[in-house]
Amino acid sequence: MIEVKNLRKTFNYKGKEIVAVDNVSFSISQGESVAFIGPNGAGKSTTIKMLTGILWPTSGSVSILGFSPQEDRKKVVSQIGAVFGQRSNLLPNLPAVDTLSLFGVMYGLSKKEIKERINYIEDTLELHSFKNQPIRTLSLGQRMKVEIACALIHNPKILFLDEPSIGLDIIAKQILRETLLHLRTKHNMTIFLTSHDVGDIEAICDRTIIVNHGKIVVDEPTSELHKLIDKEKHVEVRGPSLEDVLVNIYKQ
Amino acid sequence: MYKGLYYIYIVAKNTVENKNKLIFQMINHTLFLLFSLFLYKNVYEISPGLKEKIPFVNAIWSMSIYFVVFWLALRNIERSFRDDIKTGNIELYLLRPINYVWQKVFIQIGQGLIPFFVSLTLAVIINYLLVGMPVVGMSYFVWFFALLVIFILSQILMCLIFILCGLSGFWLQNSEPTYFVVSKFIMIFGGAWVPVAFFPKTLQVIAEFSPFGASMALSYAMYPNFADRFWILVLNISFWILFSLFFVHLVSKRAIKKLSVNG
Amino acid sequence: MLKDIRYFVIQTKFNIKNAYALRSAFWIGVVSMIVNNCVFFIIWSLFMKSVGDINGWTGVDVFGMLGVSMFIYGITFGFFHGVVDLPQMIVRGSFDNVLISPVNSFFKLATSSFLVTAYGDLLLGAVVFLSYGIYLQFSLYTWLLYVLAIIFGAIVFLCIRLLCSLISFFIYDGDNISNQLFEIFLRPGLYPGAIFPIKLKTFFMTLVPALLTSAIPVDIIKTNSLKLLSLSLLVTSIWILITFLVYKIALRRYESGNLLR
Repeated sequence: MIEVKNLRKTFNYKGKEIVAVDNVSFSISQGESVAFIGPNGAGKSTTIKMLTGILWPTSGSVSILGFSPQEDRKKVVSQIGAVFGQRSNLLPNLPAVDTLSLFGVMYGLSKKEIKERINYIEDTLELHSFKNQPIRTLSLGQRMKVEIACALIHNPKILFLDEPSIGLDIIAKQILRETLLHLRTKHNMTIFLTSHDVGDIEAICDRTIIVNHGKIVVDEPTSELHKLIDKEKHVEVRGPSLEDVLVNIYKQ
Repeated sequence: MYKGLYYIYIVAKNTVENKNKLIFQMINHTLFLLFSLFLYKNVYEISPGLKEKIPFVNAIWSMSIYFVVFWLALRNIERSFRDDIKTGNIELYLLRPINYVWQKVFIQIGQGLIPFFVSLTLAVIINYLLVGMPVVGMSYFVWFFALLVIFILSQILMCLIFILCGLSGFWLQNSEPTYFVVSKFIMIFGGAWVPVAFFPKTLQVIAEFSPFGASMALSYAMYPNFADRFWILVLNISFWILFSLFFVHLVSKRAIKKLSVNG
Repeated sequence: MLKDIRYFVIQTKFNIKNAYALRSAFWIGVVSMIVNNCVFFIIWSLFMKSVGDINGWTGVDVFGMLGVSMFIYGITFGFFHGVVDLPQMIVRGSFDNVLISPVNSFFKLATSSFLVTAYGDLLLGAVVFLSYGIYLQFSLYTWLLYVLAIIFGAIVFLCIRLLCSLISFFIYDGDNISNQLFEIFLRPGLYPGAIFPIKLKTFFMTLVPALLTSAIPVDIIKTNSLKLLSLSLLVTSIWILITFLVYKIALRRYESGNLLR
């Protein structure tokens, strides 16, 4: 699905060369959900932009479903969906169905296909209760669902998410995680996620790649990460976490 | 073609949902039309010699049409580029299967379409009722089709000019100064506040044949000598369209490449 | 009150210092606005050349009027730009910061944002209106009338701009509407005062006081008319009172949570 070989990206700033991504290599198979994480400035967003064709690598290669995102941009974008946490695709005064129709037309779907996809997405993402409301009246969690819906209208094989839970409250984050988990388990969607939220990673991703200073430092299954610092197993008995408590209260 | 029309339709639908904004825009437009009309009526009464330069009714139609086109707001493409670069939203558009520049054109047309048609209707009604039809050297039926040709060509040119302004932001960091200069030249040579017919003869020729005047050639279409000037206007606008198209094609490729290389 | 004025002065100084830290961007903004404004001189000089002197106004008088108008615009937008941003502040929720501040809310609001290009208006306007006075060799008395008229014009301009922004407290999506309303006010002030018939001139001096911010200061010094200056003072006082009352009502509405959505 995704093949990255010796990917390198440098930027020129006032005559100085800044290395943002330094010889990164990895591959992702169909149905995998991968967290691509690291501290601020590690090169996460730069990498995701190269994978989606927004930026061109200085050297190395990227292959998405056998195509180069830089050379075959149109072929690649028709097979991927992308959600950027702090950017919105939505038209504020119209209900979700209008933005979805627009995206359907953009991706070359016929009227019948658009209608079928919208019905399918509404069922999958549970949009029925607010699908006719203008976007500006929706909560953040609802808007995020609609953003994901727009990214799925053309039935992409891979979903890229760049900090999708930024600014969301606990309930909205839970909605997001449930949605992505559903896509992963029921639809075998390949998910590539960058996030600072550990909860997102634990809930959704079975593999974690950690980058720092532009290099991959860890590439392990998420469940095995604790072994990097802890050789023994500890068993703790404790009550619900603060997050669980708050979710319970908010939902009442 | 269908993608573009649908894009425009959805954006127009989004814009028209904000009815208060549209109502106030049209109140603004109507008041300004009436204000200009009464003001210039007074000017023509004070200086009767002005009607030798351009009849009062043609002057009013010429200025009105400038402000009707103003509502189509294709010049806002520059600000749209500038905002996308500043906020990074350009990345969202690059992830869609339609060329970025085309998306911006569709969005701008969609946003301006309804205010344009409403303001055009208001301008036609107000001007017709208060000053009558302009003096043109042809039948009104032929004049209407000639206007349509000039309108389409001039707005294509306007769009290309402001796309170039917006694309300059990929190099200049801020395209606003370019926008100021270009929009002001269009304001002068388009006859926004003062009909070009009031200018000295040399300046009139410069205005008409410049790309700035050509992008507002619809104002000249209200002049009595339009019939004689029609083909010259068409050739002039077409020349500038080809000229601008070449530069837009060249510059837009480099702009996206620049973004792709240096983020 | 003294404390609030002191705050206003210091905050303005910091705003300018902050903007000037990016020197090249500052000067590009200022110069591009100056170039932008020169267009109005070109347009109206072409007009006056074509039409000739109107009702005793020459091309020089039109230049003086434009200088006054630009200077007033520069003062308002250069020192009180927060008033323009008010609708956006309400949408973002950052108006709360204005209310919880220990200084007068108007001064806090006014200095909460800054516009570099206004200094282009201010600079060009000042050069032109001063040059007008020097060219026509104003007496001390005439200078006094001129400066007072400009002060009244600036106050009215600020009042109108604030009133347009205050609409956001009463109508949803007030940002767009306030800009449209302000344009209705602004445009007549950009035309030479001499071309206005008497009734229209009176209307644009009182009910929509656009001419107070442009043509009337020039009319006052051309006629050396204390009567016209007094009328300007009266109109300015009425608009200050209206603005003060509407501002108080708007604040009460916001604080009581009655903001219309």
